[in-house]
Amino acid sequence: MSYTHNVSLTHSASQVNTFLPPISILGVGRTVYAPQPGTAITELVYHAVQAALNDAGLTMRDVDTRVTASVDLWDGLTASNVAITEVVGAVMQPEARVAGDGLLAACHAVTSICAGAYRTVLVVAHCKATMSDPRALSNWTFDPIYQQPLDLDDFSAAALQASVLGSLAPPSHAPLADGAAAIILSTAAAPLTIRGMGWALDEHYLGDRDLTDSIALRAAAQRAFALAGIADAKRELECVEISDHFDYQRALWARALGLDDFPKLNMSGGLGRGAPPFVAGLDCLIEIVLRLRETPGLGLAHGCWGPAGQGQAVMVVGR
Amino acid sequence: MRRAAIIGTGQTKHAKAHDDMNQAELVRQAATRALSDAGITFREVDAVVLANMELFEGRALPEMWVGAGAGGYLKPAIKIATGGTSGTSAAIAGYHQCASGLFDIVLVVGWEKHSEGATQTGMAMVDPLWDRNVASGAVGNFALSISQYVAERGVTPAQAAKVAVKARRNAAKNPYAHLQIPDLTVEQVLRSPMLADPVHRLDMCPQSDGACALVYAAQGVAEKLCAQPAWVRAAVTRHDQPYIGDLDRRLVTMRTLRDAARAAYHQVGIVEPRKQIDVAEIYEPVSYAELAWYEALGFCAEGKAGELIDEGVTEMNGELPVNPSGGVLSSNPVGASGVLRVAEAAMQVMGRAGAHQIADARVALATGYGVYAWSDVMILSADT
Repeated sequence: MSYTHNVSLTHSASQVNTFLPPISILGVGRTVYAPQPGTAITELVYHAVQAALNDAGLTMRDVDTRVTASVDLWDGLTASNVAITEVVGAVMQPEARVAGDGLLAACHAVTSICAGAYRTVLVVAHCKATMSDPRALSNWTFDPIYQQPLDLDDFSAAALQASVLGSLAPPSHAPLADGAAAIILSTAAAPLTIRGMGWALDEHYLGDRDLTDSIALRAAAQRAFALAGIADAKRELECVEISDHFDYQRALWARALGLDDFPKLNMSGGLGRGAPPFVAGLDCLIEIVLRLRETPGLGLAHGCWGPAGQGQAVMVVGR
Repeated sequence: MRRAAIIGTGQTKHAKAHDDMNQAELVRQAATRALSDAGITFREVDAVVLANMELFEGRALPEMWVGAGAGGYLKPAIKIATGGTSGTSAAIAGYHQCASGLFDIVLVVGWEKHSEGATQTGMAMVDPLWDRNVASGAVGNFALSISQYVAERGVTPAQAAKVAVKARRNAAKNPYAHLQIPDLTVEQVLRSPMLADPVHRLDMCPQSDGACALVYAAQGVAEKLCAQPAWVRAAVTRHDQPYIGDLDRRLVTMRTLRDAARAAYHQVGIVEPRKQIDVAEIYEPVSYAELAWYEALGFCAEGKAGELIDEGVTEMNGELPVNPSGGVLSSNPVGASGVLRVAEAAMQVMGRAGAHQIADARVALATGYGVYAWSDVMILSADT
């Protein structure tokens, strides 16, 4: 099945920028991704943030604001960034918190830098997936009228998506682990810069969606590629890390990105490396940063969240 | 980097229970009203920012279901959640996205449907090691801080009650307000049941179902769509310690609000807030907090908030009207409450506040309050 994807992302009155101002990635940091029952969220985030500051050669004093990503129900905390206020340096300082994947938080951080509001932004995501009950909690993501009563959750939605793609075997899920990731964005000049980004929400009702495709990811990628000036993604990208929370998603997301059979896809091994939900997209960005430090070029990081990838985000980085 | 302005606002009627609309429909109604006020449709919206406190309804990532109500389908949509400041933080996030040069039009929608959840349970889901053992939700936590504030600053229960009376009287002029009590008296407030000393029930905000939306447009677009846009002149956020026991003298100093307001005033060139601000929409979850905020915002000297309300300075016809909409004390759908403060401030600047319009309002202040003492401050102005 194929759709005509004519997604209008900007309207006609447009003075909208066609490229991003120079915004650098100064540092990255992350914890190990493994079950860590003895380590509190606060500690996980502390270690990721300190690693990112050390990597950037900065101290917390150099950070103007922070954008954090976490999900209340998964943390069992209301306004779950209360657990990390001190370790992200937000005491008497600004912070915005995004409910969703850390790559979405990074996208929002870029807009606040473009707005001239801040120069240096710390982006942090955390999740203790082993402390949560992802099956029960993701059931509460579905609308309470039609889908939640069907006992749908992230896993059964993925099984449905895998089945329409032709696989009747239950899809294999990346290992659920605990961890945090952090990244520092800045207007200060550095070799690695953000070239493009995009994010979009897909249809919520699975029955109304073409589950064999992701038009939300196509929309996000279209905008990211336009900002980055990429005409032929397969030829121009050096490396790509996508969030394959389930095994079948690797090919599905790659196709929506126009990157079928791309040779340097998920050189990290993909989410088999253990990056937990909501951390995964930001960790894909970290993987791209580490790779581009070795090999110059353009890299793409992808994150998704929600049922069968309803939320999609893409960021293009270059050196 | 571009300037950005609010060019439209919309809200639902706020009520104890909206059995007639689900969460997505509440959001839809507020969003379509805001777009209609701005004279545009969902088609023109480039990005969407949502605000909601999902644990109050017990949902995970509710924007997945509700996002379509805000026209979020295939658009860049994001949800901000920072406790009580969710709405103001989303308003600031939407402003940043619009000012970024990446989007011309950004729609911000906040909502809450307390009637479908367990708000007190949600509020008790705090730090599991220390605070959860003493978590008493908003009322108990405020009572602790208010006792300290009253002891140090000498405000009286009757002065606090006057704030509660003012809010509900103003709300009677606002068709969307939840608690509209035009003839409420100080005596009635003081006779209402004691929730936690010294907080009476009528000193406290209600729990409401409702949604509120606002439309930002970037410079170059805003002037074409709106005769008098409400330009964003400052947007400042301050968070604070996460443990209630570490926030000694919270309401007395209200250091986040004080610091955020000073930073915002500095950006706009405000040195005499009482004279230079025409109207304020502040996030006062409890009557005493409004008095404490007067001091933190520099409307009066420390210890003089009681006199300010006694002298009627913050009444509709006073020198600096505070919360002509009725404020949080009259309508409190938490995820929307911060958006409401900003929207109401914008309505004043745009001259679209109807019966609760303050004449010649050109500079408006909006604040957000959340978690233990987090603050957002925005200043809107008729001038770019």
